[in-house]
Formats: sequence, C-alpha cells, structure tokens
Amino acid sequence: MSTVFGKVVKLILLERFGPVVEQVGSYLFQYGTNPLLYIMKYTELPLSKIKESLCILIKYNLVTFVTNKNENLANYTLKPDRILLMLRYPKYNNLIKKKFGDESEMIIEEVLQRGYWTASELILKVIERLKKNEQATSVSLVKDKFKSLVVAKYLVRMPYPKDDKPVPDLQIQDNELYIFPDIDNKILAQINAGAESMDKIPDKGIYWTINFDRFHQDMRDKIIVTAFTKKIDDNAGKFVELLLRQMYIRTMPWADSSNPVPILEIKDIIRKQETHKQLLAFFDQYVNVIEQDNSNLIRKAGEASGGSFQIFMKEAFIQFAWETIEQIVLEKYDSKAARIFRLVKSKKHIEPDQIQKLAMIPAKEAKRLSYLLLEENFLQIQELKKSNTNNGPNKTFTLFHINLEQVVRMTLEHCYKTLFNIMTRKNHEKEINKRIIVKKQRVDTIAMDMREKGAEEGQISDIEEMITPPEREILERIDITLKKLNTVELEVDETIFLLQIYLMYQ
Amino acid sequence: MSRGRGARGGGRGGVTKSFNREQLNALGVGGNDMLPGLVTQPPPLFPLLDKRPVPIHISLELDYLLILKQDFIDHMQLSGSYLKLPETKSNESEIVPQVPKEKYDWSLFPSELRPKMMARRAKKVVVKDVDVNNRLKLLETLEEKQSADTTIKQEKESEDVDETEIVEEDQDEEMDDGTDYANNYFDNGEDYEEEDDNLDDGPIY
Repeated sequence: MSTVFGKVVKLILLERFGPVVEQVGSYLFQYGTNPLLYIMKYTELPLSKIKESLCILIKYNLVTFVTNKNENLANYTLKPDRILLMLRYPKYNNLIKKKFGDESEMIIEEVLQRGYWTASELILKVIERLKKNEQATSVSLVKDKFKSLVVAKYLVRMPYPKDDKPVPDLQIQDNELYIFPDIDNKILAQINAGAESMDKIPDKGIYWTINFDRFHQDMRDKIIVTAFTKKIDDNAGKFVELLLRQMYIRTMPWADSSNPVPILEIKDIIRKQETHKQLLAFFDQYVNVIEQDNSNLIRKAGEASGGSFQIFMKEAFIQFAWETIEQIVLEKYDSKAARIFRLVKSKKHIEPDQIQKLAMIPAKEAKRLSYLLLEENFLQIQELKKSNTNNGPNKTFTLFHINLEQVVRMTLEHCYKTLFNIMTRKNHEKEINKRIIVKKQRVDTIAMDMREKGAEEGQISDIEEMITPPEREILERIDITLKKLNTVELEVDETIFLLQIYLMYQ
Repeated sequence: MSRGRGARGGGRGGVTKSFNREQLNALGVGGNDMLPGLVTQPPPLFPLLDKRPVPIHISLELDYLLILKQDFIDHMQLSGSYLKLPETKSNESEIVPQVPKEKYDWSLFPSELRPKMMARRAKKVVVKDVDVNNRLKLLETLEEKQSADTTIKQEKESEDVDETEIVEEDQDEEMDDGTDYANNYFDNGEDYEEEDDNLDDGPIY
C-alpha cells in the first residue's frame, strides 16, 4: 500500500467513474475505514454526491461496509486491490470468449459493466444484444450458457442481507454460492416478447457477480502452460495442461502442492485425444525432461501404477519470479549485471572478491556493477564481523545476497509507478489535444446522425471534411500514442499478475 | 606528559599515516581512483534512457484486448456511474445527454446512503399499517367500556368524535414520524462524531 499504488488507484477511478468518485475513493485510500460524515467533512463534497459515489463504489464491489457502533451508520472501506483488477477486465472477457464463445463473453461483459445482476435480466439483455447483431438465439441457449458459467464457478452468487437492518449484514452460505435458481424459460420468453413486465422475473434479489479467483486460476495455469510451451515445445505444454486438469480432480486449486496424480491417467487421455502423437510416442522422455526442469513443477511421489507425480505450484512460481527479475535486471543493466545477479543467486551468499573471480568480469567493472545493483536494491549486503582479533583492524566480511521477496515487492512498486506514469502521460496527451478530440467526436456524431437519417454521401463527406488534413494528422498521431500506452498498460498488468501470484504463495 | 601529547599530536597530524593502504582499500578508497567531480547542476528533468525498451509485439489478440478495454471505459463514462462535479455539470450538459441515474436494490446498501425521499417513503408505509390497526383496536376497547354506561344517542356522538380523533391522530403520527426519522438520522451522525472526538481528546488530558 504505497503512495504510488494510491495514485494508480486514483487514476483508475478517475478514468472510469469521474472526479467525484475519485475524490471519495482516494480519501478512503488515504484514511482507511471511515463513516459517511467524515468523508463529507474532509472531501467537502455535497452529501448527495458522496452518497451516490459510495453507492457506485459498493455496487462495483470496490467498497465494503460494516456496521458502526451506532447501528444506523456504516463504516466504509476501500478495496484497492479490487480496483487494480479493473485493468484486467479485457483479459477476463477474452478468456471467456476463447473458452465458451461469444454469448458467454457477453454475459461476463454485462456483469463486469454492472458489478452484479440477476440471471433473468442478464439473459434478456444478452438476447437483446444478440438480436441487434442479428445472431440467432433462444432463451434456453443463453440460459444454458449462463448455467455453465455458474457451474464452472466463473460467476458466483452475491451475498444477500439476512434480516432487515439499517446497515445490511451481507452473508451467504458456502453451499448457496453456485446453485442456479429455477427460472422458467416461458416467463423469460414472455418478458422478452413484451407480454410481461420486467417485475415478473422469477429470481428477484438473486444477484450474480464475477468470481475473480476462478479467472486468476485459469490465468495462472496459462502462465505455466505457456512457460513450458516456450521452453520445450507444444507437446510439453499439452502435457502440463492435462496434468493441471487432472490435478483439480484431487486438489484444491490454490494449494501449494498437489496430491499425487497417476501418470497413466494422462497417458490415457492423450491416447484418446489422438492429437499429439509425438507426445504419446515419447511420453516417458517428456515426463523426464519436465521433471528435471529447473522450475521444479513436478516431482515423483511414488512408483505405483506407473508412477505418480506431485505438482508444486509454489515452487514453479518462485522460479517464474526469479526469471522475471533476472530478465528485468538484464534489460535494465545489461548482460554483465545479469550475470552477477545470477551468480549471487546461485551462491546464495558471496563475497565481492569472489564475484569478480567467478563472473569473469574485470575487477573494477564487477565492483561497479555489483554496487549499482546494491544501490538499486536488487542485491542486499550482510556484514559479518570477526571480533576475536584484538590488534589491528577488525576483519569484516561483506556478503552479497538476494532477498527475492523484497526484490519482488520492489519490482511491483516499479510496475505501479510505470502504470502511474503511463496513465498520467495518457491524460496529458488527451488534455493538450482536447480541442481536436472534442471536435472529432462532434463531427463523428453529426455524421452518424446524418447517416441514420439517410443523407447523401456528398453531404456526409462535407461534414467529415470539417477536420482539416493537419488536424487529421495530429489525430492519427494521438491514436498511435494512446494505443501504445494502452498496450503497455495491459502488458505491465501481466507482470503484476505473475508477481502477485508469487507473493500469494509465500 | 608533553612527550605523550606530542606523540599523539604527531599521529593525528600526519594525514598520510592515519590509515595504511590496506585499510584504505577496505574502506573503498583506492589510491589511483579519480574522485567524481563536484556536481553543481541539478539532474536533468528528463534524463536520457540508458537502455531502450524492447518494442512490444503487437498481435491480433492484443488489438482485441485494446478494443475491449476502450469499450469498457467508454461504457463507464457514458453510464450513470460516471459522476461529474456539480460545477462542471451545467457546462457539459449541452454536449453529453443527461444520463438516467442508477437504480439500486436498496436492501443491499446501508440505509444512510438512500436519497432522503426514498428513505422516508419506505419507512412511512410500514409505520402506517401497524399503527392504524393497533389504534383502532385500542379505541374499540375504550369505546366498549364507555358505551356500557351511556345511552345509544351519546354513543353515536362519541363514535363520531372518536372517528375524527382517529384521523387527526393518524395524521399527526405520520408527520411526527416523518420528521422524527429525519431528525434521528442526522442527530445520530453528529452524536457519533462528537463521541469519537471525545474519545480522541481523552488521552490528552
């Protein structure tokens, strides 16, 4: 929870919810849990606006509340980590699109845009959207898609109030989380046709929201699979993918290490699928190679039934974090520094003299680079004093070592800083070119209006020519810049995700 | 004594003899190393990059993600969840059409966040139902007791009076409840704040 993180959260809120919500959000970030009146006192916003923004923040599950000592009042707490996830929304969408198809993606998109919604309303909305795109649908199809999302735990039921209190105490039993309510297709069809009003929906008050953990689980698996695909080949990736799938049958998804998975099971699946012939032919070799890989993902647990393997998620992610940091050092300070970094890593604790010898870098440069890494906090030093000599100077040993967790946390801070810089730059870019951007928007709306009314092409092109060529050039340039910045935003988030998972396993 | 002092002074004065080379090296001061010159200027505001970052590989998937991202932000900015500051609202309302306010399921939110009108209306209905029934029963029992002593004519009159009373009382109740609710609402808030203040002040005295 650093200042930079706070600034990033602030900018994310500003971009999506506007200045008022942003003020309330950053107040809550800075001062922690607070009641309504304190927020009003310090933000100096009108009460109605604060209430509205709190409602919005609660709606998107960015703020939680608990009862105050006075039962009529509530204390509000911001969830900054949850706000950071908003940068990842497109990835959630894409993940579902790949796995379940367009209808499911729309369902997820609607839920993300609204925070939570009832199943019936969601289904109706998706049908409406599909109709607009002129795709064939039916109530039962969309409902089945919705159901499969619930069964796969991508959607989860919202906690609901048990009794009528001024500050509701939202709770939900574990067994209710993924139970889909009975919805009659007929009623939905009737509402859809306009024969019944929206009030008639059968599942009033049963709201569904996104289960981010489930998405993160998929994304975590994807990281592991891509790592092996890149390092070895497609077949190895497939093997790891199947291994993870079999793991879920026996183990909780976020366990540090899994229960043993019999290897024959995976072989059988590959034989049935018949897509990876090579993997089947060289199965034992692949298992060997992956077992000996330095990511330590799998380890043999027993010899029975052809051998069974345990999966070590935690160790794999420690390895991934190391590799990420090594890569960062390489890109920042070049290969010689990276070599020193790796040397310190492999030796755990090492003296400066030894670095010079073992890294085979000239003494002076080795010293400069190791001090540079120390200054940038990628290396740490530990001093050992030998105090048994009474005459002469005390001999001290200086040992370099790496505290991975600290380095990861620092790198995360760097990522936040990068995000902040990118967003600031983006806002600056928009601000200085505001006039042209607004003009472009206006011209676009007018042209679209005319097109809808069936105006002639000539008239429309007249309107569009109101933007002069130099302006057009500027617009193109802004587009390219913004696209670049947005891309970086998405990419930085990947690194953040990996490092966060590493920290989670610690 | 003077000798001792002299010796000590000599030791201190001889700059070159304070540390031997080995010690200097241990401190990191090498004899031949050039010391960095004085820095008299502030560092540049935008220092040159040491290393150029690697360009990001643009793929179709990334493009799609970008579109999704922009769509989401656009949707949020056009939705009722995007609040503008009150001052700027009048200026910008010409361009952006007024967005309908969000509808909430109030059972999920603390009641203090409800707009005032909503809160009052919701409370009133409940109070009315309960009170009328109770009151009628109470009055009926009273009536029976009274009517036992008086004649039929008087009874009729008293009934009329009672009825008007009921209506009046009901209205009063309603008004009281309405204002009471509002008062309670704000007083409680201030009470809380004062209490907290006192708590804060406590340890100082």
